[in-house]
Amino acid sequence: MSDLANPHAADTVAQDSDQELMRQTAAGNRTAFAALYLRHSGSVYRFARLMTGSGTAAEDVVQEVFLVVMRDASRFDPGRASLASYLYGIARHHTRRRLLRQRRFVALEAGDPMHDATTDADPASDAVRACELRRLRRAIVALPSRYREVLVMCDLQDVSYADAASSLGCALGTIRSRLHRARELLKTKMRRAEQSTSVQRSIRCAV
Amino acid sequence: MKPLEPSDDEKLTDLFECLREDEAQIEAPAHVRSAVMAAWDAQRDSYVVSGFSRTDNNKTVFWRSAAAMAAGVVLAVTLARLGRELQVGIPPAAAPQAPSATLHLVGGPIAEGEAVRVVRVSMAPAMLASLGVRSTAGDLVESVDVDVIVGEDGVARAIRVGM
Repeated sequence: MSDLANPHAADTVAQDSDQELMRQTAAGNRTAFAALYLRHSGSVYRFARLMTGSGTAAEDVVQEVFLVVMRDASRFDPGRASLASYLYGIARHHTRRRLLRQRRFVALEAGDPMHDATTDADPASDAVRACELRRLRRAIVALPSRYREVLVMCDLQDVSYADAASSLGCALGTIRSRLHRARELLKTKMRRAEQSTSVQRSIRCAV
Repeated sequence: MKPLEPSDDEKLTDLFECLREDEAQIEAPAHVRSAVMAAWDAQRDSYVVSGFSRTDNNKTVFWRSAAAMAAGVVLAVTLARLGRELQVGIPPAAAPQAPSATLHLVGGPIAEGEAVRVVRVSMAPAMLASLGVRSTAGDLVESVDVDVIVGEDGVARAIRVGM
């Protein structure tokens, strides 16, 4: 069975609001559910991937999130939060559970071409950029999760402070202070990583 | 791009921008979508099999349940009568032994709501014995089917030894 097989139905649901799609999903409309997935799976995946540093873990989180949507679509209350906030809230819950269980395995996956996707034409510039981005990703994954989640949502996923506060269940002021702290921590970690790389280069030259 | 310098907010903002650009190209793999939609279809199928649509209202469900219960009662009474007629003069036969299974807990407890997977493996009784599990089939059979119950984290929670 292919979702969105009927082009007219697909066009119609593609224009529907999140709220309407959730209502139709709760009523058992497969096309609406598929449209919801298409609309939101990317942001959920990217959030989970940045949080865990693992594409595989992120895939599992996406599945968990949409299984919850499938099961509990009727429980979604648009008056309380936007659908994006609701989904981030679920994703955050599953990401935390996973991180708690697999603390030992949190590491960036090597050899993933998506990690270092570059667009510059200059290979030298590409290499430097890829190196910086890799370092940044590592530094983000190494942040404490309460800071990491705010940074990922607000700085990298363009989630509004209000939506982030709603997803994380905390006050707007808490979001601001955590974000500030997260950026400071990140700068410190990046500086350390830079220094460490310089020292390694010096040692290599000396040898 | 120059290396990051201390207290350089602009550099961090620039790096965030680069990361956002990279991230924008990333989507969940197609197989995740297939798995999610398969789960949807499986759920819908289970509703169809049970004869209840999600959109049924309470009244419909009530009447269907009532009809099913009535049919059940009629069937039970009929079977009881038929059984009495057949049992006259026939000694009761020994009930066949239902295949039994033993559950051995080997890992942490299964968390509430945790989605477990069951992996069936075939093992020699001797190997089972070496793990401290005795199969009731003893050494008479070449291999015993064992269901390994695996938690969400991939760690075995329990094994179930069937016959």
